[in-house]
Amino acid sequence: MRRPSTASLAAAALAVLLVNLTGLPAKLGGVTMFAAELALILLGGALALRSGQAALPDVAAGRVALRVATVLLIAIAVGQIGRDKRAFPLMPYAMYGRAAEGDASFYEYRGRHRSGAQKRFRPSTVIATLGRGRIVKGLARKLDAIAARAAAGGDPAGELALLRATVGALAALYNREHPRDPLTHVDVLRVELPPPYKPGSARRARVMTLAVEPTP
Amino acid sequence: MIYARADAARLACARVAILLGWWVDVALDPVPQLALLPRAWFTPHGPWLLVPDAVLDAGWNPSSLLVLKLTTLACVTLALLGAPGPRIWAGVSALLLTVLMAFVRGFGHADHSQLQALFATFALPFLPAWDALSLSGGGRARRASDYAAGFVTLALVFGFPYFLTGAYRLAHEGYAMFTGHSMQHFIARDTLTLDDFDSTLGLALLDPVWRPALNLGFFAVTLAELAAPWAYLRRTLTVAWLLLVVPFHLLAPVIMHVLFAHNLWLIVALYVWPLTWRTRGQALVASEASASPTDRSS
Repeated sequence: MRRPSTASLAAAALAVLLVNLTGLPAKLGGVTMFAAELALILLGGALALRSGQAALPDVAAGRVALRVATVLLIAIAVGQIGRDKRAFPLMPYAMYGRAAEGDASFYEYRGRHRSGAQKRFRPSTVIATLGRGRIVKGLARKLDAIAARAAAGGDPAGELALLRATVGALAALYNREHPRDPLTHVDVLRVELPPPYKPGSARRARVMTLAVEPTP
Repeated sequence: MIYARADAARLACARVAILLGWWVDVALDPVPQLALLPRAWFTPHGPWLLVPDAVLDAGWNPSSLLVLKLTTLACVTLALLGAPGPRIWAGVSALLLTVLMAFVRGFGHADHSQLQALFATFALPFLPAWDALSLSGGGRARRASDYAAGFVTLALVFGFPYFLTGAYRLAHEGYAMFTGHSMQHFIARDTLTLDDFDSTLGLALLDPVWRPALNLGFFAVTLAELAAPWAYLRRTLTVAWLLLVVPFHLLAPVIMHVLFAHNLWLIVALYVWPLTWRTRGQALVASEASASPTDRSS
């Protein structure tokens, strides 16, 4: 079978891209949406490799390098199709990928200090490597899970204890760096911000208060 | 193609840039402190799924994590400097970086911030990236196109994840993604949730008057993501791509508290810097042109 030309690959990729842009596969959902995305991934990947090969002055050049690129692109594509973040580093790339039209909801942490001062407690800044949403999104997921379990009539005691231990450990680390005015409590607030997302229109509700054990 | 003038020294510089980025990242990473958090909070990702719980429990202390960090740092240093057996050091570095990056993602959210740099690091051991600037004395003579192919490989593995991001967005929402107020939702949510930055500039963009501009910017960035695997093919395409991607990456931490430092660094190494390359002939013409006024006066 003849290999498709670069031009025909590019035309097919552009056609699939335009179909996706219409939003029709998204409206149909399910298998159609998946097929449209898969077609775009396969055509895009094939075209990227073909263009790379064509850009080099001689065919023999970089044969090994381009084979490596092929293997890595296939692995990255498999990660995208697999949709499982636990398969790190072969993770899906879905950031800012779904429309978000409703309330923006999130959690806020208010630290109460020994001096009586109240300041925003920022868990990501306690251990710098937990930034980039790593810890705050993990905490939010746990808080959502606790609320869901409680709403379903279940007992979230285990998850609550783990949450308390984790926030407690973060607060203890914070206190180690700020011994003059340590945290005594952390209030967890659920914040709902309705469209058009004016910060003043946020509704805040306290979810729980976590007492911080004094640092020895 | 912007890599037409690649040579051994330039590909070696790209290798140094990639590994130097990791060196700084790992050196500054306070990863040993993570053992002070409850072990039960940790959810294994990637290679950590293969580690038995008993082993994980036994090694859950700052000293073990310090050993992991320092071993990674040592391997990255040896690969960066081109110590004897550089490809082996680069391969081991890629594996250890995967282990380390997978570990820090076990504490809540698995983000994408270092992934493209990691894939570029996976490719390094197979590229002729130690033929110059290497303690091991360089390799055999190769054709210039072999070094260009090395750059093409790095650009492909760096650009393809951008493409997948754009493809996912288009497949799951289509044009409707760029007509509603999703972008303002993302800005509000991320500015108020992601607390490693303190900037509140993003909140100023929540006024409805900004919505058309933000949606247009979002669409333009999506196009740039989709074009990423081909951005190196023509100088004009590279420049246009950079004009979209660089402001996006510079603005993201300010208005959304999202920083892709490795990406910015690699964009400089793989796209901005190659745009400045000149052939020996061009350099000669330029030096003659700059020298000519002096010649005339003398």
